[in-house]
Amino acid sequence: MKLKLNNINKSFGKLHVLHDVSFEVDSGRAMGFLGRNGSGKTTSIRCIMDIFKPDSGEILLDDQPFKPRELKVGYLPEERGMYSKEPILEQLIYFGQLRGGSKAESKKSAEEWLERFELSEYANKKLEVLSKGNQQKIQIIQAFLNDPEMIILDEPFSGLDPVNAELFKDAIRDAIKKNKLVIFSSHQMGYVEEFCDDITLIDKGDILINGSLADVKAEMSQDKYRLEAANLNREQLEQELKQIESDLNLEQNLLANEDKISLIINLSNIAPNNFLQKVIAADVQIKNFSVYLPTLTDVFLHYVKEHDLLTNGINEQDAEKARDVSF
Amino acid sequence: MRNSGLVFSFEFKSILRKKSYLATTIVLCLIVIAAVIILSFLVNKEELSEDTDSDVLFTDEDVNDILSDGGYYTATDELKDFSLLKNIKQEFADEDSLKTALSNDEILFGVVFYSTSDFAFMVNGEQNPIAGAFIEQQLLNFNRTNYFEANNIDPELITGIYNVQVNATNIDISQKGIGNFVFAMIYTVLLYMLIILYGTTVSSSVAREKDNRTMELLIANTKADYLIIGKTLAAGLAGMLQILALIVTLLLSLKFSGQDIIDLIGGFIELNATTIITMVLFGLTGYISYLFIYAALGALVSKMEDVNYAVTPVMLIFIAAYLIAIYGMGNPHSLLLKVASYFPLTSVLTMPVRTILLNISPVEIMISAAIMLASIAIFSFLAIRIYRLGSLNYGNRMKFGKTLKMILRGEDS
Repeated sequence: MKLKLNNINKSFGKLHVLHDVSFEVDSGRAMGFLGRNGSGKTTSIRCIMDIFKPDSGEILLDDQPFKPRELKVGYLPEERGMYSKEPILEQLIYFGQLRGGSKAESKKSAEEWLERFELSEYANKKLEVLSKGNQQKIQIIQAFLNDPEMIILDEPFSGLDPVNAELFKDAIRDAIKKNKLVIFSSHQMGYVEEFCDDITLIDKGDILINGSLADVKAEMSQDKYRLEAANLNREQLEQELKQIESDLNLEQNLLANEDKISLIINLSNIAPNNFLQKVIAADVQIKNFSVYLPTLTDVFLHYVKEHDLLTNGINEQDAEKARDVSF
Repeated sequence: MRNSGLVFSFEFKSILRKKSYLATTIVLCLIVIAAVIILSFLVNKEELSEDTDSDVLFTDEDVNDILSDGGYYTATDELKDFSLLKNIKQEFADEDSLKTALSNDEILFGVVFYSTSDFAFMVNGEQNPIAGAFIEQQLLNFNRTNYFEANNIDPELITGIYNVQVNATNIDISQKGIGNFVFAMIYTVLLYMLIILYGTTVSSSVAREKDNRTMELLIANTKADYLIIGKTLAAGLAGMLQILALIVTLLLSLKFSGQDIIDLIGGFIELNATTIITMVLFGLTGYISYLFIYAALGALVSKMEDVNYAVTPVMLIFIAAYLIAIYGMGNPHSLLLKVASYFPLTSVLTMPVRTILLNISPVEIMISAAIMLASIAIFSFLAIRIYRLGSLNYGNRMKFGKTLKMILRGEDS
C-alpha cells in the first residue's frame, strides 16, 4: 500500500497554509512527520483524513483516489477528544463501528486493547473518572481498534509517562510488523528516530524532505568528519587546524557544532588520510576521528534553518553556505 | 446511512441514560398526576355542593342556629303570623330595650320590624350577613304568600312561570368549540416546550463535542451529514417519547381518577382527519427543522458558554411564533395569525392552531405545507453545510452571515 500526496494546496481565507505538499508513505514502514508548530503538519493530516478538502492536488492510495472513510484508518488527532460522560467500552465500540467494524468485532477489539493497556477494570466507567494519562491511553486505543490498515497519529506521545510510552511503542512496532501504514507526527525526535524508517519534514507549508531517514542522514554526513583531540579543547584544535592547513578553507568547511570538545569538518577538498597525516604531524593527539552521523535534531535544524533563510529572501547558494556554517 | 443509524442509536441511548432526562420525565409526569388529582377533587367538590344546594336550602337546625342568638321588636301586628319570629331568641317591648340588650351583648343581633316591608337589622360590631339576608328572604316570601292568598293566586303557578328557562347558544360555523381552544392551547404549549427544550439539547450537544474535541474524531470516521441527522433525530425521538409519557400519564390518571375519558375528549373537542393530519405534519416537520437549525447554530461556537448567544436569534423567532399562536387563539380570524401560518418558522405553531380552532380550507393547508416542506429541505441542507463548516472551527464564534456566504461560495465542500 502506498499513500501519495501530490501538490496539495490549502488556504484559509488569505492564509496559504500548504504549498504544493507532496510526499509518499509505504505500508510496513513508519513515517515520521516533522515540523515546527504551525508548519502545516496537522492541516496536512486533516487533508489526508478528508476533514479538510484541499484547494488543489490529489491524495492517492495505490494510485487510486484515497477515501479514508472507506478504509479502516486509525486516527489520533492532535486535539484529543472523546465523550467524558459516556462509559469507556461503549464509546470504544461506537468509534469502532463508525470506522466500519461490526459491533461484535469492535467489542472484542476494544476489550483486547483495554487489557493490553491494563485498563480492563475501567471498561464500564465513564472516561472522566480516569487520570489524564489513562484518558490518553483510551484515546490511543480507539486509534488501534479493529486492526486498521492505516494508522495516523498526531503527536501521540504527548502526555504519556515513560511506562505508558513503552506500551504504546510496542503497539506501534506491532503495527509496523503487520505491514500497516503508519504516519506519526511528533516534536519528540527521539521517538521518531526510534520507529521511523522514513521522514517528511514540513516547514511553513513547504515539504523540505521526504525520504528514508538513513538516506537523509547519509546525505548530510557525506564528506563530514568529527575530530576530537586528547590534548586540545575545541577552540585550541580549531586554531591548530587553521595553522596546519590553509587549503582546508576552515571558514567554509568548519561546521557549527553544539559539542564543546569536537569539531565537524567538511573534507570534500582533501582526502581524509592526507588530512589525518597533517593533523598527526602537527602533534595533535587524536582521540576521535570518525564519520559524522547527524542526529534527527541536526537534520531538523539543518533544513529548517536553510528554509528560514530562503523564505527570508536569501538566495539558495547563500542559504546553503549559511546552512552548512550554522548546523 | 448505516453510520446515521449508529449515531442515532448512540446519541439516543446517551440521552435516555442521562439522569436529567429521567428526572425531568418523572417530575413532569408527577405534575400531570397532581394536576389531575386536584382537578378531580375540585370537580367532585363542586358536584357535591351543587347537590346539597339543590335539595334543601336550610334545615330547621340551621334556622335555629342562625336566629337563636338574636332579639326582635315589631311595631306592627301584621307580622303575628310570621313564623320566623318563633325562632328568634327574644322579643323586646320597644326598640330602645332591644338596643340596650344588644349593646350589653345579651343578644348578637336585633331586628326591628316597622312594617311588613320595612325592617332594620342591627349588630354591635360583629357582622352577621347570613342572618340579615335570611330574614329578608323570609319576609319577602311571607309578603308574597299573603299577596297570593289575598288575590286567590296559586303560588305554584307563579313559580312555574318564573322557572321557565331559555337556552341560547351562539354558533359561529367557521369556528369550533371551547374544547378546541383548550386543545390548541395544550398543543401549542407542549410543542413550544418540546422545541425549546430539545433544540437547546441538540445545540449544546454539538457545541460540547467541539468543546471537548470529540468532533474531529467523529468527522474523521463519518460524514458530517450522518452525524447531524443521527444526532437531531435522536434528540427528536427522545423529546417525543417524553411527551408520549406525559400523554399516557394524563390518560391513565384520568382513568384512575374516575373521569370518563371518552366524554372528556369526545364531548368537548372536535377533531377531524384534516386537523389531525395538519397537527402531525406541521408539528413533526417543524420540530425536526428547528432541531436541525439548533444543531447548526451549536456548530458555530467552540465553547459551551457561547451556545446561548448563538441560538438567541432563532429562539426569538420561535418565541414570536408562540406569542402569535397564543394571540391567535383569542383572535383566530386575525390577519397576523393567517400570515404567520404561511411563514415556515412560525407556521409550525400557527397553522395547527388555525386548523384546530377554525374550519380551514384544505387548499390553504396544502399551500402552507408545501412552503413548510420546501423550507425544511432548505433548512436541513443549510444546517448540514453549516454544521460541516462549523464543526472544525475551534476559533472565535463564527458569524451566521459570514458562514452563509462561505456556503454560497462553496467553501464548505
